[in-house]
Amino acid sequence: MTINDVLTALHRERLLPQLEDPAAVPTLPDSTWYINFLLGIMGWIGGVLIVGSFAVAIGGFLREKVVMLVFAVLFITAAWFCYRKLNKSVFMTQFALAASMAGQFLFLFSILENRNGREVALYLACLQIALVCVMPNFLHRFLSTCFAVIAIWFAASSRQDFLPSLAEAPVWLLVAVALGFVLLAARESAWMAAGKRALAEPVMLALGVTLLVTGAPQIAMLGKVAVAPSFLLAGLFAAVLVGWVFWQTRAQPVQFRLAAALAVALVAMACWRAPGVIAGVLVMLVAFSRGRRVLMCAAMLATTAYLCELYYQLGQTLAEKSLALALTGALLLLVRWAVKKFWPPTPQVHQGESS
Amino acid sequence: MKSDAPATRENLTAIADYRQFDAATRERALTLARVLPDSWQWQRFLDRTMLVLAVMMLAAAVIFWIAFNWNGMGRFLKLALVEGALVAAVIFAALQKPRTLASQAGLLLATLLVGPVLALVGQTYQTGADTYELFAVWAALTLPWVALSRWRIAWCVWVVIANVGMQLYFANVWRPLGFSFFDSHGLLAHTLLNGALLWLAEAWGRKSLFGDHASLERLLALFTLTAATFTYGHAIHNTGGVQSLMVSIFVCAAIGVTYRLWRLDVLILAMWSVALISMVIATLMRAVHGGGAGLFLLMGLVVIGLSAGAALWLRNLLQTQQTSERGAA
Repeated sequence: MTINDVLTALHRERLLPQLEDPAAVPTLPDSTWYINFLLGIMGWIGGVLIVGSFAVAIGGFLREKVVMLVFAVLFITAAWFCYRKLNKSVFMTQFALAASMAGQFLFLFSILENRNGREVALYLACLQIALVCVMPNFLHRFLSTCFAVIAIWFAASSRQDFLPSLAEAPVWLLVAVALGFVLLAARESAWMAAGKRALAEPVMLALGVTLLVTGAPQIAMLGKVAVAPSFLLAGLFAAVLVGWVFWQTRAQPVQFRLAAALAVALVAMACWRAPGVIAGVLVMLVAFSRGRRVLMCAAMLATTAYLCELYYQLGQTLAEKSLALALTGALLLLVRWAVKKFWPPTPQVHQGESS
Repeated sequence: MKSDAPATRENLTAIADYRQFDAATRERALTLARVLPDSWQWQRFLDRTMLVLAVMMLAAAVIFWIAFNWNGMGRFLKLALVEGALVAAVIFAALQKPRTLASQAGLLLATLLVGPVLALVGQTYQTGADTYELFAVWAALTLPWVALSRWRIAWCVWVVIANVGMQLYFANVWRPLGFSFFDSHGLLAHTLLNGALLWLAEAWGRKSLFGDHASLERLLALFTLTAATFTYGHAIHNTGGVQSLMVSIFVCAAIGVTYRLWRLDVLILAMWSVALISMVIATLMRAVHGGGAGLFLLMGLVVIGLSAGAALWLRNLLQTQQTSERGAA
C-alpha cells in the first residue's frame, strides 16, 4: 500500500477534508533499530575512550572531585550544544553521544567516594532523568531512560536493613514501569498528535525494554528471599495484563472481552511463580498491538531467556517448576483451540497473504 | 515525499506531523496501512505465538522434570515418559499436513526432546560421555527432522545446539576449565563451521526454507562475524597465527561483498560494520602499542568517525533497498 492509497482512503472516509499532496512533505530520517544499536554501542565505546585519553592526559587533576564534576558538566553541555546546533551532521551527533557518555562517566567517578551503592544509583538516576528531558535526540533519550530505570531498580533492590518497609520497592518500581509502558502505548496517537513524539516515543520503547531486562534478575533475587513479593509482582503484572486486554478489546462484544480477559488471567495464574513470563507476554502483546515488531521479537527472546533462568532459581523445586510449565503449555494449547473454535479466521479479506 | 512511497510508519508519521493530523486520523491511517494489526493479523499472531510458547514450555517442563531426578520414579518410567513425549511429538507432526505450522512445531518439540532423552540415558546408565558428545549426538540425530521441517526457527535452534556442542568440545578437550572463545583453535572452528553453514543456507536455503525473513542467515552471519572478529583479535596479538588472520579477513571480506553486491541485506551489513570497526580498533591498538593519551583519543575519534560513516552508508543502502523493492512491486 502506498501513501497515496492511505490518503485517498482517509479522504473517502471524510477524515481528511481535502486530498493531501505528499510531494511537499519532507521524509523523516530512517530510525532503523540496528543502525541505532550500532550508533549506541559505538557511542558508548567512544565515550569510554575519550574519558581514558582525558584520564591519561591530565590524570593528576582528575583526582579532584570538583575538577571531575566541572569536566562532566562541560562534556554534557558540549553534547547538548552539538545536538541543538549541529544536528545535521551524523558525525557531530555521534560525537555528542560519546561526549555525553564521557561526561556521565566523569560524573559517576566524581560521586563514587564515601557513598554507598544506593546513593550513587539515585544520583545517577537523577542525572539520567534530567538528560531525558534536556537532550534533543531519540537515541540519547532512549539510553538515558534505560539507565534511569536500571539505576532506580538497583537503588530499590539494595539491602533495606534500615528501612524494612521499602523491601517491596523493586516490585512497585517494575509495576510502575509496566503501567507507564502500557499507558504510553495506549495513548500513542494522542501524544503524537500533541507534538510530544520526540520525548514520548524513546521513553515508551525504553520502558518496554527495561521491563524485559530488569524482570529476570529481579525475579531471581525475589525467588531466594520469599514467596510473598514474587506473588505480589505476578498478581500486579497479571492485573496490568488483564486490564490492558479488556481495554484493547473495547470495540468487541462484552462476551468476547470477558473471554479474552479470562484467557490471559488463566495463563497468568498458571505461571504466577514466574512473573517474568507474564511481563514478557505483556510486552509482546502491547508491542504487537502498536506494530512495534522489533520490541515484540525482543519480548519473545526475553521470555525464552527467562525460561532458561527459571531453571536456576532457588525458590521452588525443579519438579514444581516442571509442573507449572507443563500446565501453562497445556493451557496455551487449550486457549489456542478455543480461539480457533469460537473466533474462526476470516481469510477472505487477506487471501493474498494466507496463500 | 513521492505519492507512491510505501505507507510505512515513518512515512505516515512524517505526513501526519507535517499536516497536523489529529489522533483519530493518525490511528486510522496506521490501521489502513496495516502498520497496526487488524483482526486477521491478531488471529494469526495469537495462533503462532501460543503454539510456539506452548512448545517451548512443554519442552522445558520435560527438561526440568528429568533434571529433578526424582527417586520415587523408576528409571524405566522416566525413560518411558520422555520417550513417550518424543514419540507423541513425532506422531503429531506426521499427522499434520506437511509444512504447516503445526507439523513444524511438532518436529521442533521432537528436536528439543532428544536432548533430555540423551541426558537421561547418560544419567541412568552412567555412560561416561562428555557434555560435548551429548550435544554433538543431539545435533546429528535431529538433523533429518530439522531438514524435513524446512523451518528457519528449527534450523536456528539446531545451529545453537551445534555451536554449543563445539564450544563445549574446545572447552573440555582443548582448554579444560576454560571457555572456547579464549582458544584460537575454537574460534577458528566456530568461524569455519558457521561460515560454511551460512554459505549452504544462502546457496540452497533461500528458496526451500520457510519462515519470516532471513532469520537463519542473519543468525549465522552474527555467529560467523563474532567468531571471525575474535579470531582476528587473537591473531593480530600473535596468539593465533597467520592462517587464522587470513581466514578471518577472508570470511569478513566474503560476507561484506556477498551482502553488498550479490544479496543486499542491510542488517547483516550493520553487523559487518561493527566487526570491521572492532578489527580496525584491534589493529590500531597493536600498531600504536603504549601510545598513552594520544592513542586513546585517536581510537575514540576513529570509533566515532567510523560508526558515523557506517550509519550514513547503511541509511543510504536502506533507501536503495526500499527503492528497488518498490520498483520490483
